[in-house]
Amino acid sequence: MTKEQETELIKRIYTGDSQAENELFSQFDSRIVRKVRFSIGTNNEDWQDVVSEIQMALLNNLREGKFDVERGASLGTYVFGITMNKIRDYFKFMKKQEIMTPIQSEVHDLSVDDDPEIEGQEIRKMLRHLLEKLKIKYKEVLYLRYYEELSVAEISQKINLPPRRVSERINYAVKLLQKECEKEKLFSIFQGILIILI
Amino acid sequence: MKCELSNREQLIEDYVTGSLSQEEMDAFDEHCFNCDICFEELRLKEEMAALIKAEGKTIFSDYLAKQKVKRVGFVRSLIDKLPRLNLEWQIPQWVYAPVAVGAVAVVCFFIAKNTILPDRTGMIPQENYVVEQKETLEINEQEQLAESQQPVQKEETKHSTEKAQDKPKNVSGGAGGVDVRQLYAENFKTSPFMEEMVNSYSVRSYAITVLSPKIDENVKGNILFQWEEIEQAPIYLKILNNQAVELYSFKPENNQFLFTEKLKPGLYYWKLESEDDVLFVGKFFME
Repeated sequence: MTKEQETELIKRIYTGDSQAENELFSQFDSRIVRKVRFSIGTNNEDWQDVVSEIQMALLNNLREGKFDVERGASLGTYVFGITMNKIRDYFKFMKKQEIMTPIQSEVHDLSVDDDPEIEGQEIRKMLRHLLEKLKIKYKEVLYLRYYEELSVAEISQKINLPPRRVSERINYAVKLLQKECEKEKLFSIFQGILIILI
Repeated sequence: MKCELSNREQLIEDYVTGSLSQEEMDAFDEHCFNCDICFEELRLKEEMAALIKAEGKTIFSDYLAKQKVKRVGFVRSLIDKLPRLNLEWQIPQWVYAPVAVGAVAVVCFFIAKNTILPDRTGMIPQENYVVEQKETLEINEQEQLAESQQPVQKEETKHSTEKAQDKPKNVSGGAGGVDVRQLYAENFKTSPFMEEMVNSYSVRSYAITVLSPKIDENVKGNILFQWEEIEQAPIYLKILNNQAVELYSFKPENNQFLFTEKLKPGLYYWKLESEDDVLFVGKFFME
């Protein structure tokens, strides 16, 4: 989003345009959800409450004109600031309740199947399919790097390939996945349009 | 919107593998709130890493199957390369008898070499040798003990040490004699388990800085165990032999302990422990 687009969006929200509010959330929702879930624990059911609080605070502030574009900070930084404040508030609250310990241990523990985030599940489904389609040489480096958690140097020794080539191969595999993801997304949009037309 | 980060791929890789500090992660998160390119790439890589960690064996089953075939194929090719011997027709039966006689002769030769030959060459028999060596070492140890306890009598002790050294010169220490480590070879054998402990605990002894004895130090007579401790906690000093059997346990004070018991020549391990944790593992050689 350019600076001009941001200014325009904020103005529209200030004037009570609900469409503009939807645009705001479609831009930042996935970022907020990701940050909250990674901070408080992916299996922590409170993530939805924290996200709702952030959305409410963000909307209220923008409706009341508390965000001044002229100050120089971007809208993204402003949303990030509110997100971090709310996460801190959550931890403070939980500390008071003395139930913080089990939550912290869950941080960065990604549970794949129990994920309530539908968008995330769709991405995983797509990724699973694309990973299966990769060539063996890419599967090899990805498996060793992310399943066996070997360092690039260790992989290099194991498969007898210079470390630079190992890094390149991993990056190339990720780029391939990105490219294929874009294609799949376009294809699903196209499919959706076709279904509507038929 | 274009991203101006030049090291984006490395940053994302470090983020996903947990190599960034919390501050660096927050800073990159803030950047991702402003940058669609980085956010999409981070999200994809994060999801991919989590998916591979959770379902890697299923997703990459074809790769794993190929690896298995490769390993089996390698072993099979090695077996195939071995010369195919058909013993029944290649080796005539009359060969077996002389081969058996030869093998018995070789065994007899080695037995004779180890038992009869030393007497013939006029060398001291092995058993007497050990006893004499042990006595010499005990004399040395007693003298060193006395030296450390009575510095005034140093000159006299030195004189007797010279005498004692003169006596075993032909049987120990010198270039022509037999090394203590050879005589007590069993006592100098390392314990793989304890070696591993030494490797890991001597490096990460963050709560303790050991001053003496150093790892692999050769010690004689009394041993001064000394260390500097960060946290004040009751500490236990334990001395173990080379088979990881605990020989002594002490509760020293003031971060040091003078060990005055006699130890046979050999490799010894020592540990410093708190109530519930091992703080340091070291080793020394008693010569």
